[in-house]
Amino acid sequence: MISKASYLLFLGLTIFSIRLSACEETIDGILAREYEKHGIEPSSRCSDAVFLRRITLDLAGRIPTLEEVRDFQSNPNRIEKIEQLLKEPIFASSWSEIWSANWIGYGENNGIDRELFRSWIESSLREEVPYDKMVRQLISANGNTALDGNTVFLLRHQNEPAIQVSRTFLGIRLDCARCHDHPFDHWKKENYEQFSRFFQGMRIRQISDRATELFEEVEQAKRTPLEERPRFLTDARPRTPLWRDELSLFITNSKPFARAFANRVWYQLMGRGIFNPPDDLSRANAPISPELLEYLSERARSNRFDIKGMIREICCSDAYQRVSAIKGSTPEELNWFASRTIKPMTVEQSIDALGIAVGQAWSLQERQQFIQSVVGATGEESLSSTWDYREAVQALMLRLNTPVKSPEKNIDDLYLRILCRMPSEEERLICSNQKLDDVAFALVNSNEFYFNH
Amino acid sequence: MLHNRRQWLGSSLGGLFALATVQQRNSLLAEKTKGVAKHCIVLWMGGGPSQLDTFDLKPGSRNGGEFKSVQTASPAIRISEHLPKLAKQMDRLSVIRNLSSKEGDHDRGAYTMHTGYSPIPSFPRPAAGAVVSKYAEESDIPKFVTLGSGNGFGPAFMGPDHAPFAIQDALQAKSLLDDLRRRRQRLSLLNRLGSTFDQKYEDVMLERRRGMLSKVERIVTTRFVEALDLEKEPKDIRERYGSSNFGQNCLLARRLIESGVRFVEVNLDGWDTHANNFQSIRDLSNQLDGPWASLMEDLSASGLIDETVVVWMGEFGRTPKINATNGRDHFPDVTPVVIGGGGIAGGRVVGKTTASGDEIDGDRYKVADLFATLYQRFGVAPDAEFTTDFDSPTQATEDGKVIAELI
Repeated sequence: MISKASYLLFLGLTIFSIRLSACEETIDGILAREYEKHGIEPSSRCSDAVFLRRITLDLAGRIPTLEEVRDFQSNPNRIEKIEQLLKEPIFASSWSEIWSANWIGYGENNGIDRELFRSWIESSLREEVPYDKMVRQLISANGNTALDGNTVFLLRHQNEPAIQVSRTFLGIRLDCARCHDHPFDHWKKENYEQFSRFFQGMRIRQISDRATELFEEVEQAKRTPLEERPRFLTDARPRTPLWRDELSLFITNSKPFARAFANRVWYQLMGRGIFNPPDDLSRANAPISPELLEYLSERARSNRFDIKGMIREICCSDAYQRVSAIKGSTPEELNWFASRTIKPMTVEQSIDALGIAVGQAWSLQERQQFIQSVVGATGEESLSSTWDYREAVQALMLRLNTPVKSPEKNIDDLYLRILCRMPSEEERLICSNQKLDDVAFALVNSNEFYFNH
Repeated sequence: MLHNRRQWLGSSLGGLFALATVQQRNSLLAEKTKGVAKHCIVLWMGGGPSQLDTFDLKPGSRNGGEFKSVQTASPAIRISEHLPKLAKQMDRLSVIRNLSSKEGDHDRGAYTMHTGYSPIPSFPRPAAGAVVSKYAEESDIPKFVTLGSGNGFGPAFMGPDHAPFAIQDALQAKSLLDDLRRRRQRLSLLNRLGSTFDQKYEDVMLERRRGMLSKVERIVTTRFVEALDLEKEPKDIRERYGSSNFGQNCLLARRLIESGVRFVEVNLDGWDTHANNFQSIRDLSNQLDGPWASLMEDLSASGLIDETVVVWMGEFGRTPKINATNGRDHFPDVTPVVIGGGGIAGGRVVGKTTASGDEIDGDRYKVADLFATLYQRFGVAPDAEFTTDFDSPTQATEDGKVIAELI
């Protein structure tokens, strides 16, 4: 028997908690307000088939298998699918390639071992090491560069560590300030010089034929008086002689760090940053929605830089699940994430997706060879740090020359397997008098296959 | 030189008239030197070629080494005795003896001599081939091609359309293109099946990739594919270029230029002669001499030389001092360049080094000046403004000035 008083109290609490959750911000809540303010009509949620392909490419780095397509048709639970993919080992390996490309590109400059670095990231992701801790390990890294994966970042960027560290982890470009005061921003040449000094004690020495050692020379740091020590962009100076250790803390505790992290994950998944390019937050390059950026960076901090947590939150939003921009959409709609931006596959995604599509398991060597050829043809090392379509004609020819045989016996299964959908009547008609191998070739080289939409 | 001319005008005429004349002269000069070149062939000497044993010999001096110099078709130029065929072509080529670079490391030197700038990893610059490609008119065939083990310098902010088309093996490249041609009906099926998706969604990337696909479809039927087939060349001409990789690649370069390619780089590696310098350079000179001379002959015979700049260079020059292993080490202070064709004066010597070759004697040019001279031939001003991927403006060359002696 419930007394009237306790019933009222219960009701009051319920109303209170409803109010509380109404106050709680969400990505979609913030964007809805922006849409109202700017008179934008967001597009609808995408179909289950499109969602499955999109989320599998984003979290597993490949298209879904025929079996996964059929399973999802019978149980199209999107939240469950996101959770399941985040638990799979392939998530860690796929995102290790994303972070590798972001952080060190594709080259093997300065004698780095790219695979060592990638596998260090993979095990960090598998162990769910928070992002800020990973970054601290990169900036304060010491050790054998053939064994300790976290040394690879600084080894790769030894010629300009300050520029790369501030760009990659803070979204702040000190490039201009290296030579002159920044024309539109508040960074001065002095800021660059003071910041660069954090790396003054960093040394690299040869310890064997193949290995070098990254270490910190602290003697000089010990003798440097406080006012001559390096200075972080917030004016903080290190109190101990371990300057890189202190820098790693200054950086990961700063607000720009959380913003850069939130925006980078957002960019990776949404195809477009809250600010663009994603490693340049400046006065001249303001976020389109400061409110959304603040919200996400606060979430990053309160969740202690849980990478999967950030990915989960973005993927569960309506913003992530909208249909791609159809013909006639305005650039404004894309800028505001009212439709989904189309992304080209990364080179790794494309080879793995092709493997599923034509039913072929590549050897590690074949896969590596393909990646190197495509990246090499482009003549650029930082191929996938942006979502621009930057394929050279030679790379495209290489793809077109990859032998393709149909793994299926009929048009319907072939479409379902390669494009994760059934063919239209018109498409069936076109294909009816074609060889299945030719259809398979056409489908795996189509834009619909090559882009994540 | 330009400076002297101005002085002369100033003193002899004076006043407003002189000013008018200078301006008129300058505009005449500009008119005359406006880009006329359409093609460029770079003969890249990987490792860094020794100036003292090729185009700036000092026989009899303490650094002179073993080689003699011989007279060439140009009264102004003497070159190594091991380049006898090329000697007959020197009226079409000029030797720059006072070019100085700052980069004495292989990677940095190669980057500098390909882009005109010292490397800054966070600010990649386009290779000269990408710049020439960007400024040439649209074409179905690749405009920038590298032959052999190219260093693969990228297009940077010129964009992927201007990335080098790298050919390691011409036969393989040809069979790749032929395969694509044979399967062209597959490409048209791709076109038909893809159109529904492409018409439904709005994104410039979809159009760009579609454009690339039809470009591939067009490339396979161009003269470019034919040009790759050296079998099509008469036997005696093939033999004249020799059977070495470098020889065949020089022939290929000529054929590619004839088919409309704008920029071709051909490699000849092995110039990093820290030891056994003279034996190595004797061999390398033998490899270089015939093919290069044949290339000059053929370009001259067809008249293509008037619109094709030919440049011979590598990462840097080599030390005058001969080391303990009878070799020469890296020496960017004097970086040798031989250049001609495309409206660049031949038969001239630019600058000089001291009697022992230890240093440049008098005025010197920097790498940016070489790029200014090259770009200007293609109608790109030395201070032309390029826009980087981050929308910041930058100049075609780092304050480069056109080398007046070459025009």
